[in-house]
Amino acid sequence: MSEKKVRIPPEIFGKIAAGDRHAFEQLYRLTYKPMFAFCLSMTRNNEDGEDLLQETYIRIRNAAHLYREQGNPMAWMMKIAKNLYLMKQREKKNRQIVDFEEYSDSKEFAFDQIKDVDNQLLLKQLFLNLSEEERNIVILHGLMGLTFQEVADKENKPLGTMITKYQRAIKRLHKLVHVEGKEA
Amino acid sequence: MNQYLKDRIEAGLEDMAPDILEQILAQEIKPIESEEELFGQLETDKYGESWPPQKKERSRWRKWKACISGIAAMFVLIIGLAAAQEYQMIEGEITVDVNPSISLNINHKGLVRNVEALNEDGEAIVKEMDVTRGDVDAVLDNVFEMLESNRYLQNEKSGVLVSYCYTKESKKVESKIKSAIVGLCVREPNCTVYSQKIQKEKEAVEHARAEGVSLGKYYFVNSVREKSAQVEQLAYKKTMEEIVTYIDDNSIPVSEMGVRMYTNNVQVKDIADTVLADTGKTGAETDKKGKKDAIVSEADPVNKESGNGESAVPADTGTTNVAVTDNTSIQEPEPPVVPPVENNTPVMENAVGELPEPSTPEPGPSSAEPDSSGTSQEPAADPGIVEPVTPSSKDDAKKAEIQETVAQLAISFVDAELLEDGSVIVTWDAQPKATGYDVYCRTASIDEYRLLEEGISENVYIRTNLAAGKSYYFKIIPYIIIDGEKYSGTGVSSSKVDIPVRED
Repeated sequence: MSEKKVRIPPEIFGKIAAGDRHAFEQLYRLTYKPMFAFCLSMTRNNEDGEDLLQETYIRIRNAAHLYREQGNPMAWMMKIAKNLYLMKQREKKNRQIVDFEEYSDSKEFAFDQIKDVDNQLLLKQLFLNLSEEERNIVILHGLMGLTFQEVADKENKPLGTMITKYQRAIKRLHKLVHVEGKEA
Repeated sequence: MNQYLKDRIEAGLEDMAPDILEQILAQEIKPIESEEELFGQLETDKYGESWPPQKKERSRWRKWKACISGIAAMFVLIIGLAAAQEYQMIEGEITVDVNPSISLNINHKGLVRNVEALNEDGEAIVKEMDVTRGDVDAVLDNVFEMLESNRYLQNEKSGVLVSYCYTKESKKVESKIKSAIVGLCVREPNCTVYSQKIQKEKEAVEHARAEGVSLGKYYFVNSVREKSAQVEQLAYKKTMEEIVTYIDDNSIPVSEMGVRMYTNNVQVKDIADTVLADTGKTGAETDKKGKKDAIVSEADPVNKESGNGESAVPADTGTTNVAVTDNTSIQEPEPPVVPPVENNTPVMENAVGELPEPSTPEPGPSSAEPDSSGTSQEPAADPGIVEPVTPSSKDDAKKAEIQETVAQLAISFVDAELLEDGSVIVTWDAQPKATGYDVYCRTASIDEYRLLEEGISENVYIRTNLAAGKSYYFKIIPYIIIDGEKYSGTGVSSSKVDIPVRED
């Protein structure tokens, strides 16, 4: 069974830059879930992940005029998210005053918001039990649709390793998914 | 990732995600000035300015490197003419045909010397490639990746033809080809891969050239033609997808064509290919690089009773498998190709070759095998093996303790379910004291359980490539390793799982 590949029409960025709200909404709906996964994997908690998600899309909207067609648009968007995250990290480091909130462990993933129990287990597995590498490749290749080669380039790892890790990660996720009845 | 898994993950993400669209749209657009502002923080060591990879820049660099190596080669030529020539000489060729036609030229060391396109579509692919030299599997992987990302392989009847010819036998090269093919089949379940060994016959080369196709394609289409009852002959220039469709529509017996067929989910017949057939430990050659887990077992535990190879194929723990089965009883079953593994998993050598005892009982409650963990094991149920007995009372006490522990290793339920993609997931109640689990299976027609895989560390096991149309039962036996000795507990079997027939 092959997966439906998400196609982001590259001209969408031009429309967004021109102020087309509907185009932005279309982009958002097509992409926010894998993007959120990516943000969560960096921030490791919901609160910061949500902030990062929002700020990323604001930036995407503000930078839409800079977009040049170059393969998977998700990769471009992802780069923006990563850059933003790093900016925030740097800010935190530079801050002289220790912000107590930043150091508390109270910020968590909001898995309890997930309605379906199996889905909840699945996401817990993704964010808590998979290794960082495995999680990255599942999100980048499995959810965002980057090719293995693109991921290998980004992570600076050999292609074969990416494939193996992916297979292993998928297997670990699969084992939580019992095909109990037929899902609608 | 299959759509089912993806949907579930996305559903969970949807629940967790904030509702921010309106807030974003409410903001005024403040255009960001430059890419620097957008990407300034990205550390050069991880991302660099060259990510996403600028293909042009890299190929320019590659051309420069090629230039330098060209000059270096000239020097080598001057210094050691014969040796240099030998290095430069092409010893073999691997051709990949889909629509694009691409050729990998192999040197005498079994490494790819360069990649060339044989047609226009191929040129587009080759331009995008970044691994065009070196290990056969790395280059082939890159070829396949490019084909995949250019959407050649996602349709239902997608096909790839891999043809290879080599002036000398090379099991290493062939196993690398196979490893790349298997990786592809795992990623693209709709894709069928044919692989064939060919010879460069002068006449055939000329005809192929005249027809405007690669030699491999020429031979392949000829074979299909031979086996086809159709009056109208299959055209050489058809794409592999069209050819796969043709083969399916006309029920062409590929197994009689001297070609190996690889697909996901379905066991496939292949015929006398003497090179791989009498291979001993091909597994040992598999490699020192990162591709270990992608290599698949060629072994077929040929069921001597029924006479045709249809049982599931043993393989290493970590990966999904693509099956290749021998259908002829003449051929000996090949021992499994097993890469070194990381965890507890003991290396399984010759499990196939040693299984032939027709009455192989399942291991009893406290049968012990006198082998040390981590080395090759005899198949679990050897009735003659008895625990080593030592006379002193201290040892007796210990023995009693061991027996008590082993008695606690008792699995009470085993659940086996068919997953959407045709694989089976087996789960059972975890035994906290167990070191690991051995998985056995049997088909509906055979009463005895055969060891399928040993050394599973978790209480889950996923198996792909079981034979379509067959029914299986699974049984799990827990074991504990104490002082290097393996002691098996008891287990039960699952209910029947029917593997659906793959629809073409």
